[in-house]
Formats: sequence, structure tokens, C-alpha cells
Amino acid sequence: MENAARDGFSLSPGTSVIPVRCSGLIKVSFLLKLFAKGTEGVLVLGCLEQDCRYFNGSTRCGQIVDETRKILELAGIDAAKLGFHLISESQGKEFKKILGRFAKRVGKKRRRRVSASSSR
Amino acid sequence: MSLRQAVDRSRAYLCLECGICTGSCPVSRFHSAYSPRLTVEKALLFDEEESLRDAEMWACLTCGTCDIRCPSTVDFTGFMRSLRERARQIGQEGVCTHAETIEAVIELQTSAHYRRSTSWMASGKTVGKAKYYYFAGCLPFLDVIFDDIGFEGRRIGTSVIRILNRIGITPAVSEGEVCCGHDAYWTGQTELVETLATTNIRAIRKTGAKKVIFSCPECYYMFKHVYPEIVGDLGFQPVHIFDVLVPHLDSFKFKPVKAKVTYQDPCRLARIEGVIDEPRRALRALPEIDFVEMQRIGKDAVCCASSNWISCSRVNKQIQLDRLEEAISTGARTMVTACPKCNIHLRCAARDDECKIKIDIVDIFVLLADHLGGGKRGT
Ligand code: SF4
Ligand code: SF4
Repeated sequence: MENAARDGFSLSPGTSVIPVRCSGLIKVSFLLKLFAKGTEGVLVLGCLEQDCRYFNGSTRCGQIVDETRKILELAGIDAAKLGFHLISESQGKEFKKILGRFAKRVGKKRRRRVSASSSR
Repeated sequence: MSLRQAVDRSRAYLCLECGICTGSCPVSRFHSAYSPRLTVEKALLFDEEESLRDAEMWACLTCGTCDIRCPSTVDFTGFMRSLRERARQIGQEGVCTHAETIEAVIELQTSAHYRRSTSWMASGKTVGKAKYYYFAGCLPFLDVIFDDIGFEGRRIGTSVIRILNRIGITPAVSEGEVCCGHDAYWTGQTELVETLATTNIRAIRKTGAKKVIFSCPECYYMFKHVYPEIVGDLGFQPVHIFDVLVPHLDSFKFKPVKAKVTYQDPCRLARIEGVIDEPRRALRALPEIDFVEMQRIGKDAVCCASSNWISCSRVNKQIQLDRLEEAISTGARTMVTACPKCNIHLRCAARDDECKIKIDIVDIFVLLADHLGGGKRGT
């Protein structure tokens, strides 16, 4: 994100960032509680699988996101409101694109968007 | 509620210090630091601070074994519940299992944009308005959360609907239904229980149902005993599916089940509601089934050893392994239960390395629905 910021990128208002040490530490409950509190969309960003310094953090995160999406669908919440991307720290441009696309998908009626990302 | 009120309401002051509760308690059996008798004794010293900070209070399974055996009719589980309610007020709580996922699912259900999906029930016939309502509870969510241990919550729900359809009942279901609040109730979260209860009552009343059918013993317990305390007259009658099902057993013409099976009595259903004979009659209606009983059954059955999604430790696992061993010793390799929670917890233990002989945990409604023959339809 810092790389993207250097390119003159800034987050739109209403978006907050929650840094986590490793995307593998994110829990289903954590994501669900964000939606329960009225967050319109949550974008989870993690490192590329081969870059994980804790071995399987990103893979684990993918499973957590899958499980959360299934629960959201059952609760009548569009699973597309939970985005998930693995990118490397050098992909500043890619990051911008992902965020832009996600914001569009989440739609106009958003109140609050949060992107949780690992802190690298 | 103060400690004194909790003592008064549960009649803890009648305690004779006989120790029957501790001697009967499945937790005390494997965890000597836990003793319901001691908890009562401590409470009677009226040192509220000491009582409320006692971490052991969260180890109680609220299984009710001590309640039914106490010679002085002390309502220990009721006492424990009041104590937990008070303890929460000073910031104490039990350790959530499963990384708080279930707690979060419940929180999600109280949020404004929650509308539960009913499409997973599509294999059976349901409607929006009817005389009967089927309350599925948390089954679909538990299905996702416990997929890794092969728990099929949705299949339990659709099996119940198929059975009801066969009897001639097309139940109403609702997108406004939420968790029944059973676990919130036993962990002392009074406000949350009230929110959930009123939401459910509102959703069900909209369907015009006069009878609400339950397959989960815990949901049934809540609607039958707790909801009336909160909302007064429900406007409908809670019924357990066994009450609807048993009179029709003869007309079902089940396909044979060539297996030796045993049955795990759920605490709420057997010990509290006394529904002991009905599931056995249903099982015996399956042709060729070799039904065997464990030693401790009915009101004396052992709890599946994990409840309210708090405190899952080595102690709980030991109680479960001990229970599975009892089941296996009957020669059965299938353990049938009528509670989704027993199913999940015993299924988890059955996959433990220490459970040397394999035993399947099967839901009774899935077993019955899978063996429905071509019997007649009618009410
Ligand atoms: S069984 Fe009843 S009377 Fe006996 S110690 Fe326990 S609470 Fe007291
Ligand atoms: S309710 Fe069950 S677990 Fe709790 S103290 Fe009584 S016997 Fe023990």
C-alpha cells in the first residue's frame, strides 16, 4: 500500500485499513463481525502464497475467506462483498486496480468499507 | 441478579453438602478441581467477588444431571446461569471455542441486513404461510463451520422436511428466523436472548403458524420454557418432531437398516423433557435394525461434554472418549443421536487418535428419511 501511495494513490473516504501481521491470522469471526457492524464490503489482501514467511498463512487465509463467504450467503449477504486477493508488495499498480474494482463491485450504497491486509 | 437472589431462586440454601452432585457430574469425574457442591458451598459464604471470579464456573456443561439427583431439589444449573449472568456484568466470561465463529454468526443474525437463506431447503416442500412452521435453527451455519469433520447440518434439516412432507405437512419457513439463543441463555447473555426471542416470534407469527416444529432439542427447550418468560403467550404451540412423527411410524414402511446401532440421549430432550421412549420407537420401526442400549441411558445418559460453545478442553475430550468407548463396547459401530450438538461434539471426539475403534455418528432424522419406503401419504 505504501508503494501505491508513492504513486499518488490515496484511499477513498469511508475506507479504513486494518493491518494484520499475517493474513493467516484473520479469523472467520473477525470478518463476520465486520459485516455484523454494518460494513458494506471487506477486502482481504495477503501475500503471494510462495512469499508467506509463516509457510501457509495465505493458503489458510483463502480457506477462512471461503468459509466466511458460505456463511454470508446463508445470512443473505452477497459473498462478493468479501473480496480476497494475494499480491506482492511490488504490485502497487495492481493494488490500485484491485481496490478500484472492489469499490465498484461493492456498489454505491456503501456506508463503510474496510480492507484488511497483511502488513508487508 | 445478586448472588443472594441467585441463591434464593435456585434454593441453593437447601444444600445438605451431600456431594451427590459432584459424584454425578461428568466434569468432576475427570477434573477434580471442579465441584458443583463446592460452588454451592462457596456461594453460601456470600463472598460475591470470590464466586464471580471462579473460572471453574464456565466448565459446567449445564447438563442437568446434578439437578435431577439432588435430594434437596437445588436448581444448580439455574444457579450457574444466574452466576454467569452476574459474572458477565463484571467482565468475566468463558473461553469461546472455534475462534468465536459461532458467537459471530449470532451477532450477524442480529444485524439489520440479515435475511436467512431458505434455498438450501429446496429438496423438500416448504411455504411462506402455513399451519405448521419448521424451525431449523443454526443447522445451515453449523453445516459450514463443521464441514471439516463431515457434519451435514443442512441434510438434517432437509431430512426433517422430507419426513414432514411424507406425513402430509408442508411447513412454513422464514427468512426472518434467527438463532434460538440457547447458548446465549446459558452463558448469561440476557439481552441478546431477548433480542433473538422477539425476532423469532415476530418472524413466526407472520407465517400464521399455530404449531412450530423443532428437531433441535435446544431450540425446543428455549421456545417451550424460556420464550414464554420473555414474551408471554407465544401465539403458537412448540412441538417436537417426535410428537408429530411417532403416530405415523407404522405407515412409513421403512427400508431395512442392516446395522447394529446405539442411541445417545441428548440432555435437553431426555433429562429435561423426558423424551426417551419416542426416539427408540422410531429406531425400532426400522426393519432388521439391531438396536442396542448403552449402560447409561435416558435421564442418566452422559452429556456429549461440550456446551454453549465455551470451554472445550482435555477434560471434555476425556468425557467424550469415555462415552464413545461405552458405545463401542455394545458392539455397535453407529451411534445415533437426535441433537446436532451431540453429533458435532461426539463426531469430533470419534476422529481423535485416542478413539481406537471407528464409530459413525448419525442423526436420527437423516437415518429415518434415508430409509423412507414407498408408504402412503396422509395426515
Ligand atoms: S446434591 Fe444438592 S444437596 Fe447435595 S451437595 Fe449437591 S447441591 Fe448440595
Ligand atoms: S450441570 Fe452437569 S456439568 Fe454442570 S455441575 Fe451439574 S452435572 Fe456437572
